[in-house]
Amino acid sequence: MAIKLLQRLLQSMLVLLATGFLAFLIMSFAPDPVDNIAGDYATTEDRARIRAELGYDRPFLVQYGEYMVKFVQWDLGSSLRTSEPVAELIASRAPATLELVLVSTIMTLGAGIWLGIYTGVHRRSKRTQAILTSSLLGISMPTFLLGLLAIYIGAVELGWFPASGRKAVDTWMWTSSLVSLEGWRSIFMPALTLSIFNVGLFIRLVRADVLEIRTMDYIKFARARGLPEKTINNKHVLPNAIMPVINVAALNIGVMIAFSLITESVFQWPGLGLMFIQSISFSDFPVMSAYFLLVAAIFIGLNLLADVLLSIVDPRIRRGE
Amino acid sequence: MKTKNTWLKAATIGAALTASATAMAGNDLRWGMTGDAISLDPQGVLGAVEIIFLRNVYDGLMVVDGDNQPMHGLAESHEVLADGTIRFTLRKGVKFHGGQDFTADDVVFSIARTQGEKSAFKSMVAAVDKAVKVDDYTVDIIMKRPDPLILSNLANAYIMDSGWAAEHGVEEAPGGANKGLYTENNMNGTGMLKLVERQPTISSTLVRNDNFWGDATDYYPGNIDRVITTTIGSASTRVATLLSGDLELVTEVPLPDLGRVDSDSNLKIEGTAQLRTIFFGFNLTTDNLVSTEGNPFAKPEVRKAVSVALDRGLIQKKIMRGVSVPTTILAYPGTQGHTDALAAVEKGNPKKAKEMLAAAGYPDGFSVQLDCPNNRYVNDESICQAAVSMLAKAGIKVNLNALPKDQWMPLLLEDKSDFYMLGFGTPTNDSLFTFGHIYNQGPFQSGYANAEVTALIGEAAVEADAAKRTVMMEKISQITKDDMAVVPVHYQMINWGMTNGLSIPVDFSNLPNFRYAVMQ
Repeated sequence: MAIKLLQRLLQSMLVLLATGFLAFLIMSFAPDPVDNIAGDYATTEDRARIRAELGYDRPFLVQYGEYMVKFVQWDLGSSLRTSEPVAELIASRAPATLELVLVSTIMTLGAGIWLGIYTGVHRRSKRTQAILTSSLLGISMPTFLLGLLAIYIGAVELGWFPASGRKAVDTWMWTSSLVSLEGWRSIFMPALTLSIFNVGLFIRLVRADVLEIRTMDYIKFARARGLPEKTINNKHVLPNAIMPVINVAALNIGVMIAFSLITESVFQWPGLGLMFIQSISFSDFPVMSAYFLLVAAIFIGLNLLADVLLSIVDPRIRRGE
Repeated sequence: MKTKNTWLKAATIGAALTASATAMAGNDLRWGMTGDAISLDPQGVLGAVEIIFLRNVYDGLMVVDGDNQPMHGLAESHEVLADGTIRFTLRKGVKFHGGQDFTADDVVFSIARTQGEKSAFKSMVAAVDKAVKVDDYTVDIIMKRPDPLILSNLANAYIMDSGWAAEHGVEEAPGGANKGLYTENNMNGTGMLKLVERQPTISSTLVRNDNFWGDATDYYPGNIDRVITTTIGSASTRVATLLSGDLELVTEVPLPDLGRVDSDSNLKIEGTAQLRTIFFGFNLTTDNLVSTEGNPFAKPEVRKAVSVALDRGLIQKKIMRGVSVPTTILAYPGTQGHTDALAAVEKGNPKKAKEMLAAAGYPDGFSVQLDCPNNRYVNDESICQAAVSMLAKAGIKVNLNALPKDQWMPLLLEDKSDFYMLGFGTPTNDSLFTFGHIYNQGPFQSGYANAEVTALIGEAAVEADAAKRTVMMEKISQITKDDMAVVPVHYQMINWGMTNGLSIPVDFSNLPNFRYAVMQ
């Protein structure tokens, strides 16, 4: 088991190295950030000098090698855009994204499970049809459009929520939007926008589970014993239907962290996604590489976790059959 | 100025200040901008947003007034000595935001820093040999050569405290590899606003400096107590934030949203012509272009035919929705070198253009590639598309190559583009800067060479007599127009959306001057 885990860890390292290599390969085709740093009015000599100072005139393999050596020593360099050390920049932006994903996950689970069970239990009612149709709309509508719609309704027309930005208060560990009313008002619409797609997905997941479970023998027996329908749903269908959903939701957190960038840029939510978008438009290579590696690490970590959990549950995997 | 090492600490300070300032209840100006300043170092990056921050927090020996004209800043007065040296008498009792005293040493240090190799502002003091301390409150600026714009230029040579610079190891400007310098997110000037909170690319807070040296009549007629800048990259979100009442000022309102903002009962739009000319340029550095045979553009007749074929009025009406000023010269309205007669535009005439091409030896026209940015200027790609169809009627078959600015700019810098769109502004509020860059030297030089223009640019650079200089500048405009060295299309317009209660001068520089902002 321990050897197996070690092997997996080694593999993960290789994947991380390869990701870094690919990231650098992509960036070597992108325009370098020199023109952005130098400004419109810089002379050709100034541009050449800055390029040389930053080392972007060297071959791509040399740049990659130097970066990885420094990366192993946890030296991520400084952002060319904001002049902040990259590690600090990521640490300062992470709470915004993590809170957004957390609130969005709670919204997704709450609405998805509730509506999923409702549509599963009342399979053919008019309301069920309405819920399923509108959730399909949520799945098929692009996130940025949903975000703009939310801004125009929630902020411009109703004036209940701020149109953009994050209101946060400093707490003992990080700046949080979850401890003040202002903060909650600012996080509500981005979290809602981020969760709409997943709600549609989860309704279908839960509904399919509910429909399947309701045909199981033990439900039939419960019904035969004369248990009221409400008790059957609450005690027997619900717990069995949401178990697989919780697993999917946990894995989905990684996906949401990685793909919150559209929601974040629509709402100007200062998290990791917005940081990445801003770094791309500036060709801020140190931030871009760090973000690529970070996202790769999150996915590798989650996969590793899933593998370990699976091997604990399933003895065949543990034995390597 | 508070010190900060981490964002966490900065946020603590910010939160505390926000709490106390809300209780204070002053005039807050919340400004939504497209992109944040890249560097706040006084000699870090020469760009529009950077200058807005710098000129409100730092002062030069001179500062600019509400009409962008130089007036005395940290210098109380000046006199020009017989050898051309300018002797400045400094204000006494001025303190930096950090409490340090302002003296002649700071001027000598800051001028040298502005001249340094890594300084982005060295063109401002290119005519200066050095600054020499006479006594604690007198400084001589010794000139290498005369510079008629020296007083304006010195308004862009910001003065920082020499002791503070030494303390934080920032004696030299950041340049490229020096990124991460203390001064890029921390400011310590003498100006009427001081930086109290900064989260780069998110927001910054500037508050009124109670110990500001200038009097209210000349230097701070406005009544703004606090300026909060917020970066909102997405145009739709920026406008929505203004509409929802969370901002007082947005300096870049997209054309499709102008009506929406203007019709809002709490908001208004104010605009004027901008210091930015949009034009088509040619590669004249070679006899053989990449996308066509030979170099048709080497003949002035062909360049003129391009100009004649363009219907600038139609571009203004249909693409810019009336929000642009068509022109045939580069010189900006309100600067020397511009007259309405010179800039006058004629209706597009493809038939005449075709005849001109035939006379120049291209009866069947030719085909060529046009490199055009698609995210740099207002409706840049649409203007190029319109030009393609207008030129087609004259017989020039243009393949449009529309690119994001990061890929388009290198083509121009490396002379790899045959035919391109470019927009050019000036940080000096004077057209000579642009003449020099487009007709003479500079990274965007297209190979146009005209001995008379070169001589005139050289003379205008040192001519102190305004009337004589105006004649020279207009002559440059005339010659380059006759030659159609480049084909100007229009000046962009500035459109600021703001609350009805705010009045702030909207001028061609497109830089909000918070000193003159009044809130009701």
